Amino acid sequence: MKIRIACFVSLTAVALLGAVPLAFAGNDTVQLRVDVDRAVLPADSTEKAVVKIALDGVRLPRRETRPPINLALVIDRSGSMTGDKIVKAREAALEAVERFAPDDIVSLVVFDNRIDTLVPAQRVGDGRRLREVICNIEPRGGTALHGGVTRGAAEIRKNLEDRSSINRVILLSDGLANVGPSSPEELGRLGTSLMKEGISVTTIGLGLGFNEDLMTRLAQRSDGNTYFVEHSSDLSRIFAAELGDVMNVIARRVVIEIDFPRGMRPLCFVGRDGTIRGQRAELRLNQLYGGQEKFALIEVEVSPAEAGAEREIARARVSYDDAVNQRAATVTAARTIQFSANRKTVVSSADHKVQADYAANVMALAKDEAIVLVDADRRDAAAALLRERADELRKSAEVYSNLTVKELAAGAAPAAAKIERDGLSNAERKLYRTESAQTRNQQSSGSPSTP
Amino acid sequence: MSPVSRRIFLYWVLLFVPTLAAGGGAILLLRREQARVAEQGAYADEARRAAIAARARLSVESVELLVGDVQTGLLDTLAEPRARDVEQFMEQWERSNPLVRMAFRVTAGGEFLRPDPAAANEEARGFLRRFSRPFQENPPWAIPPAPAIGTMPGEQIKRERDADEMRQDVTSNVAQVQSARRDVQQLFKAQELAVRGRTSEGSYAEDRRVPAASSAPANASAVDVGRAKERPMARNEAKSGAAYPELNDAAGRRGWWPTSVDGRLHLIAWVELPGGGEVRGVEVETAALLSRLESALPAAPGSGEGFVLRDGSGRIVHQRGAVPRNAEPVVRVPLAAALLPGWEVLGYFTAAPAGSAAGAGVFWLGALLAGVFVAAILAGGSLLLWQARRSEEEAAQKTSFVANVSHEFKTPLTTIRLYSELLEQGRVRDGEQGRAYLRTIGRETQRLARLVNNALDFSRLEQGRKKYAREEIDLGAEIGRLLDTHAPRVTEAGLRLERNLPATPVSVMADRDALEQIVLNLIDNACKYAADGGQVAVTVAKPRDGQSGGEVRVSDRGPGVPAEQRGRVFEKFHRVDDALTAEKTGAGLGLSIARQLARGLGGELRYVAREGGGAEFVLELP
Repeated sequence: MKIRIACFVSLTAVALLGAVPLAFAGNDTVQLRVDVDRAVLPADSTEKAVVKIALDGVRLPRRETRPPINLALVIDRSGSMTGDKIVKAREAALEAVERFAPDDIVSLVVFDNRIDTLVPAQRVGDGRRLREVICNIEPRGGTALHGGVTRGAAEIRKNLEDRSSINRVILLSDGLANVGPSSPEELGRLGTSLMKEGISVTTIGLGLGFNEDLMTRLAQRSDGNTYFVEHSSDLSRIFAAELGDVMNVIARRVVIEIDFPRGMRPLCFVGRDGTIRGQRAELRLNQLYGGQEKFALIEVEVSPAEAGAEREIARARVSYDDAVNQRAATVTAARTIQFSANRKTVVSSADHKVQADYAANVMALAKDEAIVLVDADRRDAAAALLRERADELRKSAEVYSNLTVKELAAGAAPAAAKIERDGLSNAERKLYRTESAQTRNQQSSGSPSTP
Repeated sequence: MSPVSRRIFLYWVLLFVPTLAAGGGAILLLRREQARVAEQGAYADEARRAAIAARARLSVESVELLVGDVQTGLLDTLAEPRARDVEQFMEQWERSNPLVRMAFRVTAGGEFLRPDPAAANEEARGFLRRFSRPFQENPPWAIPPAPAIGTMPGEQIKRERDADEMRQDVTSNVAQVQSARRDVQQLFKAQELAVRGRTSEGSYAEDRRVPAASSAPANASAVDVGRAKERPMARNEAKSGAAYPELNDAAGRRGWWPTSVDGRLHLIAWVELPGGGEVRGVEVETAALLSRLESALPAAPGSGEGFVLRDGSGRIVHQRGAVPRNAEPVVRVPLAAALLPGWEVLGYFTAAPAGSAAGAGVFWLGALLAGVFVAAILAGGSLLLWQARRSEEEAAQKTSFVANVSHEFKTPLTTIRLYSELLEQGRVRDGEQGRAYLRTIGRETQRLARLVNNALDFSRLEQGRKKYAREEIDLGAEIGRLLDTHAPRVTEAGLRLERNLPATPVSVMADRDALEQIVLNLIDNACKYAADGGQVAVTVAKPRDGQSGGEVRVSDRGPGVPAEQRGRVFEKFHRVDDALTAEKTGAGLGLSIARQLARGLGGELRYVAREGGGAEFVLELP
């Protein structure tokens, strides 16, 4: 109730500034907001604005109302998992079993050179069988990662008819895929196709031997989470975080459609891979988690308008399967902006949160690009790119006195210097990739900064 | 060969031949058993290989069926007449069908109607980059229609017939393939419903997959199955190299075009609308298709079996079971080039290394046992026979010994009896002659005593009861005394006794009686066999190597001992001439006893051939 009052107060404030909210979520599981980096734009010039479509999942009221889970644990048992890694992986998996409800459907697939479905998709029940099997996983052989994911997906598919359940493959691997398709592109395509089926793949990269490009891409394309676990002792925490997310899913098959009126030209998505066709942009998410915000950032080119004018900048419509109430639902929201010749009005209308989110995503993208440049042995170019982006952000932060953005931009300089000097170590590269993916995906669970 | 030897040889042969025969028979049987085991193993291997080949063929069939289902589903959906909302439909299709990567519309001239080259996102740009040129220059729908249905190449017909036969044998992965096919078919059914349902506001109920019981999907299903059955008949091979199947029906020409761009496989399904103005098609999401092909491989390969699905560039897409590295596959079954060109399913077989080696092991173990058995029988038999032969020889020697001893005793006894009778009858008047007779009697008595002594000693030595009273003796003095006593006898035998005694004393540890008996036996021996030589020499000396002790050499100029007999002259009962009719009498004990006594004293008695002819016996004493 407090939230709603707070929202109402803030809305009133926004309304006073001139922006009129056309619609807002009432009794919905998902709350939709359309935010702009500045509520007032300078008049009489072509401006670039950032529109943020934010989706807030309400917290699940009760644990027992959560939708059933259809999950495949896909665990690497290649020779490299020997020792502490497999021990911790077993422990983490065993802890995970404790958290499932008897009605959840869980399958267990392990892979080395060959792929074995140790437990085909079945209800957890008392979990005894799962525990038994998990305790007996022993490492050996190569890494047929593609086959493992494929088999996990096949197990999920057995119960795909139940559209209320949360479909998820959790892949734990520490090595390079060396049996079957193994390029990030191929696994990325697999992720895309699984996403269409409503299956997300969460990837947990363990140690320093895995291919982070492949793991992050597979997760990103299928709207799953991705984790980089350098020390196997962190596995339990990561599993817990991931299961926390899975059990907290409140909406599935989320389709975000954003229509832009004439004069507002959508340029691109920042961070996420959406599609833009003419005046319409579209983005799909496989799920939303309770108590978490997911958003899409779109750069929009706004054509010149007179001072004092008021125009709608975007209208969003989100349709999803409400996993809590077991029904299809749609929410819509729109946003208007004003134009002013007064620079102060423009500056004071800035939404610092949107700017910060935008900045974080810009930097995440810059890091991804920097990795590519470092891979091509162009460290100086990578550093220059990071500095350039940071510089742009810093300037904007100064104009709008945005402290968060300033801090973010300031953090880029030492990173750039280090890249220029030493390049990226294996661990750093993995961290960059994973953090970038987590930022772009607004993954709140499991990142090193939020233990 | 003596009858005894012959008998023994016969026994030996009787033992040897059956034993060898039994051994040979055992080996023969073992060899046959081994061959049988190996043959069985080979049959089993052959059967396994055949099963693997059958499974691989079935896998290929399954892959083809699965891809065929996808193909049919895509083409059927594409071919549905849809004029008004085609854009919306395609967009929705792309979004929701995991098998659809990009739906496109092209004019017959290769101009893209969709995706719009102007307002394209990254995915669409990639598509245009890949296909705009081939679609303009060499579009698959421009290739003239392939030969009519039913003209499959003979090879292919045969392969399919084989595969059909195999299918009846192996059904292990039928369930999972059916499940995968159902899944794929469901995708299209659900798809169509979803698209129809979502015309205005997408609703949860409409979007839900409708069970197959309702009328629309039932129809769709019937169509699907009909197509699936019809499909294999429609495979064609175009001559131009770009192979693709083509189906013609009321809805227009349709085709399936596998092509490789940047080394990756891309699959295009297309339908030419009736009238030929527009081609609608779809690029298949190969990743989604490939991920479903895993179920086509055998579900649970047996131990040692492995299956691999390989793509056109030889990369492994899926593998199941044990796939050894760098091994040659048992079978290599290509997929229909029209569906996935260059793809193949390989079947591997890793024979358990135990098979033939175990057979050979059993054989060698068996052969070894048989060999040991035969050898044991032969060795045991031979030992028994040898023992029997030895006993027989000894018995013969003892018989000869008794005869000889009796003869030896008889000679002096006859002499003594003769002379004593003469003396008793008083026929000898001459006193000198009477004394001579008495001397002869005495001498013969001494000879008898020596004989008896020898016989007694022999018996003691044999039983190991001989006692020696060892003391320090001056060998030269002792031998001198001994020769003094016996010189007349030597002279009487017609021999000249030559003494070579040292001036200084030669001290040895010996038993006087034993020493005397040895030397007397040697001298007797010389008297008996070397009387023709004219002399016998007795030499006493210190050992040449300067050690303590001494040696006595008794040498003659007699005939010596033949080379082949030299090793045996010291054997008991042995005589160089063993016949009862022998010229020289004797029991064959003298030398044997002498050597045993010498050894008993810690010395040795040796024979050496004397230079210049004759025999020389060397007694070494400590």
